[in-house]
Amino acid sequence: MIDAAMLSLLISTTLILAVYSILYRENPAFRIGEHLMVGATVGHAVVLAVFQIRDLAWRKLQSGIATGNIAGIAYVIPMFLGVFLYFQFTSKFRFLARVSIALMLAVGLSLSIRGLIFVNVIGQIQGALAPLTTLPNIAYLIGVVCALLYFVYERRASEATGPLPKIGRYVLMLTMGAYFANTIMGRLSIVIGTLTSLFVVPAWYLIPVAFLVICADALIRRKTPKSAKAG
Amino acid sequence: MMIFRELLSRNYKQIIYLALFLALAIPLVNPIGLPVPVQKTTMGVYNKIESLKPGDVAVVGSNIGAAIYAEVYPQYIAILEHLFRKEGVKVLLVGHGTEAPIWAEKALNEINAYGRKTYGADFVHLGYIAGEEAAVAGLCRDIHALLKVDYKGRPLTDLPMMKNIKSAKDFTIVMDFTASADSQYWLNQAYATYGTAVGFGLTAIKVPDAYAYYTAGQIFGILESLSGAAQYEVLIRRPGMAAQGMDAQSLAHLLYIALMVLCNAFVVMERRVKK
Amino acid sequence: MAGVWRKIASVVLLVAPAIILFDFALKNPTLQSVATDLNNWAVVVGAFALGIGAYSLVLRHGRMISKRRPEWPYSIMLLLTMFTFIVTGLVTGSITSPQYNWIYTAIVMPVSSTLYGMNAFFIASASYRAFKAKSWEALVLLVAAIFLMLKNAPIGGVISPVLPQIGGIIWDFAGATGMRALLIGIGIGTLALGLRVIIGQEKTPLGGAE
Repeated sequence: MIDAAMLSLLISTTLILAVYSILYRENPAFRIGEHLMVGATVGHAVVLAVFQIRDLAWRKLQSGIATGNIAGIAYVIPMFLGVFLYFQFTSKFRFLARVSIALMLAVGLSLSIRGLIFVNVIGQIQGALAPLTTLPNIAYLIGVVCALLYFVYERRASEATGPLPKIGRYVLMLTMGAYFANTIMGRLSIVIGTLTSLFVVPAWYLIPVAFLVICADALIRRKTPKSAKAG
Repeated sequence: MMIFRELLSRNYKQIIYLALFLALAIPLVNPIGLPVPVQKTTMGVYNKIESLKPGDVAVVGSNIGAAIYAEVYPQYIAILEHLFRKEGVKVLLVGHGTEAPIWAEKALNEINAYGRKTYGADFVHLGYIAGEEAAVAGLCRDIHALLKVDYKGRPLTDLPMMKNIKSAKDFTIVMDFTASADSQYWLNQAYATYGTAVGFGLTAIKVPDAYAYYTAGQIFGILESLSGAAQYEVLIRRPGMAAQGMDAQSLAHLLYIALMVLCNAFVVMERRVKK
Repeated sequence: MAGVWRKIASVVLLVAPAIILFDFALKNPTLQSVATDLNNWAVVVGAFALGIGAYSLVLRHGRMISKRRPEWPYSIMLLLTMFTFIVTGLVTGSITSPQYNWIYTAIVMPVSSTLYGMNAFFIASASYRAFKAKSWEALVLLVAAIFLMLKNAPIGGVISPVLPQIGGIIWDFAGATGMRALLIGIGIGTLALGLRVIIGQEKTPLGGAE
């Protein structure tokens, strides 16, 4: 007897195997999985949008109207600005979206600028200027300076600094090695998570079925002439 | 060696994909049990949470989604479990991604949060708040001006613990679990403006960026992907799915290294043959 | 009308950051209140932006279905899935209701994680095919990557305790130098670009020359 939980498991396993089938070749099963995901993700975003507008704006507007609070009633402005965003898709009224985009951009940028100066610039420079009493700290400071000099593209400045930008390049290669190693670890973790959900009874019975389907397809394609395969 | 190379050059993709699948699948079915050493970044998070006292407020932000749950969700569960073991510590959960509330509720149910603590007095779930950095800034400035209700629609004024939590000045620590820019937002808004202690639980790809903040003393710790989750499970003595995956990581890493070495070995051999 | 609206957008782009940045510096209660409201308004507009993807998808895939473009059946599946999620979410009133959880666990979770993780296989085949150390820089990258992989995976410490130690030294060095330089660069770059947008030098975010 298949209950809701088992049905969900079977559907999710089928979809996982359908998406993995792209490793074999492009096929309709993968396209179905891909389109289902896009539709689901966007539908989910719409549901969240409705709940967010209700909780962040509508409730405040209602409360403002009920109590006569100007700040609450003023929430009608961002609600209109939000609706104007959708006019981007019309050629005649596209200009209406400008103020909405300007507001989001302005607030986002000013918040970023405010924070990044202290965190990324001042904080990191302070970190680089850690007490230069140990060999590692001195090496770290030289490394940071060399890496920063690598980003200076002005010819005279580059010539004046000699081999330092080249050393900076090697420092950045070490950093790229770190990113690469971590990218591998990250992606493997995700595959491990997917495989963990596959190796569950009765889901894993679908794995040999998927292999058989792929082998059958490979055999059929071998026997089919190349002109028929092209279609 | 050359025959092996010929075979690889013709069908290399299928052979490599199969080898990787086996390298991951075999240890999952038959665990090896390799030890998981604890890194200093993980210890930083553990020590910080251990130092929390009754009345302290821990904000747990997340941008967990289906794409990254395998890396970050085990960390999230481990941290929530640790926080819920601390008597008197208030936990405020907030989401920065559209799927975050689903995973937050899943985690709360998994650690039996509703059974062992009182909602509203010990922990509150605010749900997802749109707006990226503006949302985080709004939380840090004045939570009650930004939000009137929690995730389930209950007025914040009805929740006892929210009476004393108004802005980032009332936060003791922030732990953010993400693969996106919201970790930067918490640093920019909570740490830079209010001096709040911030820590991260990140996917492996984000860790190199965060490590520079750690070495500069701007964050107290990082949980690094599945490995960080496995280490934390060891520290809090709560076995979970993370430790199981580290054996598979090990074999797969060896496969990657073998492939890179093979690739370059063939290049060297080709050069010698040409000479 | 378009000209007036463009001018209003430019004023918003100048005044809003001024208010927020001055609030940070001056700590004036009135300024703080206005800055908080501006911040919260931006959050509301951001909430509306969540639905733009759906609007665009419906337009595009609706056109594909009506004109019977190639692969139009996939478009039907996409729109059906989208509406299923929307109806389920709005009718049950929560994205953590049992019904919504069911469709999320059955569709979004498996497909999303599988698509994201597939890169692992592509990186594996690229590691064999493309990761050739043809220059000293590439060799440095390759060697650093190998030692860091042996540090990340527990097997490195089992093979030899020296391997993760070397990896740790490289990791500490990379974290304190290259990553730091990148972060400083990002901070300065964002500041420069932000100031250009605010003073109107950079017109692309608002639609360029339009």
